[in-house]
Amino acid sequence: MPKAAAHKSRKLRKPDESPGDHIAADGAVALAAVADMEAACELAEALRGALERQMPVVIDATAVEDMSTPCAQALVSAATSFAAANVTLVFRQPSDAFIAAFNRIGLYAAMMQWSFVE
Amino acid sequence: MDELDQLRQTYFQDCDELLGELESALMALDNGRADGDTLNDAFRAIHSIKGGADILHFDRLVRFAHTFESMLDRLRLGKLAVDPELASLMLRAGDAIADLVRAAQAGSEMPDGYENEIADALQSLALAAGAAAETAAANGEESAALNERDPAATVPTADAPLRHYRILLSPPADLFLQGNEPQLLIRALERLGSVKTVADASALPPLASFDAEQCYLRWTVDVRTTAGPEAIRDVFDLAVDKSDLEITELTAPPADAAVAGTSDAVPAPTPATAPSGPSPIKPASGTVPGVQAKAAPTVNSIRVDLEKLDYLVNLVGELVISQSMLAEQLSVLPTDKFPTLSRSIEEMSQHARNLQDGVMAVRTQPVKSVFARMPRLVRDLAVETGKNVRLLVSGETTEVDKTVVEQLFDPLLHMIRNAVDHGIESPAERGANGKPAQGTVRLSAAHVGGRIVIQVTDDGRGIDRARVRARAVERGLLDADSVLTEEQLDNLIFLPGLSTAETVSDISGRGVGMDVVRRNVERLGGRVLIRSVAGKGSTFYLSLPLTLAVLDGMIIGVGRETYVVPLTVILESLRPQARDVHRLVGGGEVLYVRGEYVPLVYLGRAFDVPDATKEPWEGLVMLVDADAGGKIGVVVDEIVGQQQVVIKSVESNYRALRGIAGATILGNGRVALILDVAGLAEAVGGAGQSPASAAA
Repeated sequence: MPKAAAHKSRKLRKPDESPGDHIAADGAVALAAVADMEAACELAEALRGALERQMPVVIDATAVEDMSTPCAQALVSAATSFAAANVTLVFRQPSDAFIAAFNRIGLYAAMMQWSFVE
Repeated sequence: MDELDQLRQTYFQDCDELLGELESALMALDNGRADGDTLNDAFRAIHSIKGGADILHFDRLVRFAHTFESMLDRLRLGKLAVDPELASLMLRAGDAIADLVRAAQAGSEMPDGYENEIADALQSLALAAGAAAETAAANGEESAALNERDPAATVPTADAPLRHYRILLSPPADLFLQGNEPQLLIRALERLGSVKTVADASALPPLASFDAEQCYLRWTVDVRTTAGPEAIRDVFDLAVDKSDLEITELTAPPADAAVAGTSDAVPAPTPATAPSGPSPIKPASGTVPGVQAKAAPTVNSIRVDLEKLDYLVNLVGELVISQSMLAEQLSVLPTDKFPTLSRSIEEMSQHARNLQDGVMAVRTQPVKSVFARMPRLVRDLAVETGKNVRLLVSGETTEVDKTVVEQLFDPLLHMIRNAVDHGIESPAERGANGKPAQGTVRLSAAHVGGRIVIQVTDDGRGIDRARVRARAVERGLLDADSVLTEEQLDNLIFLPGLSTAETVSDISGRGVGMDVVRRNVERLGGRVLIRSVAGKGSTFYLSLPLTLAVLDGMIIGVGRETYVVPLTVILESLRPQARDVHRLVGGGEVLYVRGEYVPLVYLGRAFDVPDATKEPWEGLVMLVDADAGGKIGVVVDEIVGQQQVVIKSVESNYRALRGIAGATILGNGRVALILDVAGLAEAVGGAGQSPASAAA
């Protein structure tokens, strides 16, 4: 097993920073081209904040070129939690790389249960 | 560092070990030990290098390794026999593999066609062995004939039967934190054949308790490929612990795969049989015997990043210092009033000591990793110089701190080069002198008195002192009328710029080698000595500390200053009589001790310490072994006590100082310098000083 230095843990949110700060007022979130673990941490926190505020979210996956497994499982967890809370979570124009990653990781079936918009 | 970088780092660390194993195996083959174990060792090393390279897309390395591996496989199958020509070719191929690995590590490329000649030669031999179908392999096209007989091959073939594996991957929660990305593994599987992956997300928590750094997924991966179980296992080798992995073959493996699939088994040297067709599907529990056998052993070692270990060593060092301070504070309290505190601090002291020993033991490594590279060096040097030389190695399991091991290579390289190039005579010259045509170089390591002593001995012509002297005078390094002992003359070879080689070659003779040896060894707190007998040969002694982190020291006082003397160099301490101290005509003093005269070094004068003892009989004389300088007496005021101290580098925090090996923090919080007594003797121009060092 590789025992290299661990990924830097995400810092705790500052007291004056409200959850969901990464989400625009209209609930839009754009995924970065490289959706790595760092992005997964930020995304999970942002979506958690939005969910706490019952805020509908649109995730734009157009630009994704590299979708990591941590990010993919964050989205699956989020989609399940949003659905359970009856809060809207939809995806906009997922890139080929986005879809291919879910296929490769074996989460394609889970992804196909989500709502997509143009 | 991202996940891929971490994977690369691990791969290249593994490659270091694998290349060492490959080199050892190839040298054994070169020495005529072409048994099954040796061939398997070489094959396994190449195969593992190839497996990792495949995952990381080092395609050129993969292609060449595959060609090499194919040839080794012909040997394993008894299709080829090892002769000197083939052994040499394999050594060159080993070098090429190493170069390709280094280039991949550096992110560069070897020149185009660099490995082609060797690859072609390997291929030609394989062809001569009747493996015509393998000609395509060197071009990256895969050989069906080879892979049918080599279930370990990583690349699938069109003609071999399709095999169906089911892989259950249950990684630990910190999979991502370890730098692993499952997609890389699945991509590697995709290169073997068709892959269907299903993730089990049932353990995935709701967002409220979700931690993006944890892995909650489990995978079932179905792979259909012509590759053997070894190839599947290799994909996961670097990334996943065997206990997290279960590989089951759902089709029966080909008839010969069950044996060959266990990498330790030596396939019988028989021609390959045609693979059987697909077998009826076994129940899911029908695990491949070869895969199970490999996965079953408990992992009893882990790889630890050296930085983490160094951090631990530093922490333990600080703990020892804190403990010393505590003990110092306790010493001023009446112990009868605080018996429990006193006992607890004593126990803590013992625990700290044990902890330190334990941590230091983790850092030790056998010197084998360095010694193993020397047989090849001697072989190449012998070929290059036209000499007949054998190398005898002993004590290669002697353990020493990893840092010391790493620093050993250059000094040993120079000393062995020197022994073969300068020491050992040509076969004709040896014959004329009544010596056997084959010269011998012995390399040994042993623990002696808390240090490691490495010896390089040759039975060559010995140092030509007349020529050394003449060269030193010619270069202005020595006055023509200087009177030197034999030992002092021998030590001249450590002077920068002095070489007695008739011709400057790539091997030695540039006059830089032995200077480098001494500098490197001294930097490690070590000493290098030489003993030579004309016509009989020379011996180099390398004496190094076992660790560079802690040492047992004697705390001594000089005036108001405190110093530490390494315990291992102290022979005895005494208070001399005034009549036993004699002043020399040219300056300096000696002490008469039981029939011998020992030069004296005054620490107070050396470091200009005010209030230091002026006369030896008013203070103490500590007799120490100053290696090249022999025995010297260090005049001090008092001996305070014995203590294990943590070495802090002066060189890295300030600059190198002659006579100072490092510094430490004592229990009272004061910094004390650790003495390098031999260096001190030279620096202050005591009788222990050698002319060589004075000139340097």
